[in-house]
Amino acid sequence: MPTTTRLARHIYALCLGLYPSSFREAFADEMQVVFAKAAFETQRRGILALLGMIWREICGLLVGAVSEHWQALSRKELMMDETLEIDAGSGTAQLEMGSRYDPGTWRAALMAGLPHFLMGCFFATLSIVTAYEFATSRENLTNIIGITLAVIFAVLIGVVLLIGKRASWPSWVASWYPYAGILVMLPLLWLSQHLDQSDPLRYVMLVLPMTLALVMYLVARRNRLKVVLIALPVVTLLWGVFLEFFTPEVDVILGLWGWSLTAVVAVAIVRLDNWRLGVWLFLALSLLISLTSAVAFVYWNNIPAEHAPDRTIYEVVRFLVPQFLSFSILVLGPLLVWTLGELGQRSGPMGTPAFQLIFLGLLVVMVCFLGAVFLRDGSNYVLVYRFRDTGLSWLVTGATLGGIAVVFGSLMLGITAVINKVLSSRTTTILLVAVPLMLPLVFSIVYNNISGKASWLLAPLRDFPFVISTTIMLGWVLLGAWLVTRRFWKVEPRIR
Amino acid sequence: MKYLRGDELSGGREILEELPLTETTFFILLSLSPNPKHGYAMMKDVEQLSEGRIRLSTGTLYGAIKRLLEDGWIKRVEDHNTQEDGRGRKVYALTRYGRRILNAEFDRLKDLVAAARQVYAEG
Repeated sequence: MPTTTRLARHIYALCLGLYPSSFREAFADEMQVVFAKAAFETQRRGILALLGMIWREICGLLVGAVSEHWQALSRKELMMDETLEIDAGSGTAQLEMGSRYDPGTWRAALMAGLPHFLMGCFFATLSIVTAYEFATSRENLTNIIGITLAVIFAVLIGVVLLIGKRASWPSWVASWYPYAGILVMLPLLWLSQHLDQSDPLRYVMLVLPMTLALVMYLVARRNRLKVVLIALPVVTLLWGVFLEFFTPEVDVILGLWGWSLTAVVAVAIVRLDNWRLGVWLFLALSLLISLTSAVAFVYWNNIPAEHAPDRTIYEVVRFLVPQFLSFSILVLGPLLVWTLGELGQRSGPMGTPAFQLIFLGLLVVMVCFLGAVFLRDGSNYVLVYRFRDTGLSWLVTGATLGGIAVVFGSLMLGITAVINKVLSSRTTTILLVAVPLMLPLVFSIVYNNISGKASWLLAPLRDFPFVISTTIMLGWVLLGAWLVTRRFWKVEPRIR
Repeated sequence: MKYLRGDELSGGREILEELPLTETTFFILLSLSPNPKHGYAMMKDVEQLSEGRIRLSTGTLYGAIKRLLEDGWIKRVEDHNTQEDGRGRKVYALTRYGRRILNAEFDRLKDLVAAARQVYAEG
């Protein structure tokens, strides 16, 4: 084969990397052979013919790669390695359709969007009634209407959960879980409002975020679509806390915007029945809502001038980034840990203990950071708020020890995974181990703009210039999302 | 496990819903109608059958092959004529369902031509 053709084939083989992995595994070898033959034939007709052919191939490859990625995202892709089997008897190919493309029905999709839409209406009604109450000096109107609507919503949640139970908990029911969770946690939320800062009972407040984190992790083991659905309203709910600083008009508009968007994304995710696409949609929603809320908070607040933030882009980014990062962790964290667990299981006898060490370390780090937030500041309704000097040395010590456990566990897992060649690419293995390793650092960057003592091990990025640390962390989010949505194994792990 | 095989699909209405075929799909199916072929032979056939009008790139060809496999119109089988390294080469063949679609498209095109001929003859 002439050098030109050989070179063209190598370049073509590299370009095939643009296709989704399932497509590559099924067709890349054949495509290279076909390309090489075509190039060899065309070369005989001259260099111009060869250039024309290469141009056609590049265009076809680019269009094809985009089209295949789109289909992969829409879950239409054919996982040839798993689903195409040559029947030795009849010589026919069999295609497994059941798990391949099974979009949710419109009814299921709308049921997934309904609670968020209702929440939008609920909050908008309350804002309007509050404004009316102020204008007419009528007392208790907001309370009466608010409680009535809340009771109706609670009954509706109960009915929906009953329907869900009868239908063996389909994915769409997960949209209703967060609201059911709020109902269950109401006593704790009430308690948190009425406890003194020094009351030891405040430690109970840790139950709220830890429960959320554990629920996310446990659900991620069984159904990753549900993880995304559960996380969606958390973004809108937590940004909703800031709405109290806006004028009623902005409050209503932002509320309706946020909840409608959440509803639309939930509908799209269930309709497409694709958790990988769901992760990206979640990040897009989170970024969009965080951006609009941060802009509104900086430019359209009705906070007294002496307390209001400066009306600058820097302030917008300062409000946007920590929230966006913490929401991203909510989804990426459990999925990354789940992927690490799978890597551990496939990495021989040392793999699982290494993963368990990481898991334990992460749990300790999380408790310590949340402890700092909840026990000191009492900002129990905002996951990420302030991390002032707590004076609680056990938090700093705990976070450091947890961080050390994560580092050692990751090293162990990385080495054992590389030795056992669990993944074909060493770079991917290192990335897969290193990205979750950054989780404690992400916790620390969330507190970037806040003064105070933190563990030396866990907060190095905090001392970086804001622009650098923000860029690193946003890169982490993109890398993390890419890793959790990637197909690492030819045979997808069974959901336990 | 639920399997769907092109051979097992039946029903005229289903076939009519697949028509009309795109020119590329029609030529790919037509290329496979006499006997199973590998990718490069299909590419050459399509160019020849279309009198040079359609030159498929490898990416376009395999995108189409994937969809046809997915829909059960063609199947991938081992080539009995193994390569020099002893490995079996993959070739593609029409399924019974794919052949019925091709025939239906052929009949549709024939009807169109017949209608046009009649109009020209009368005119």
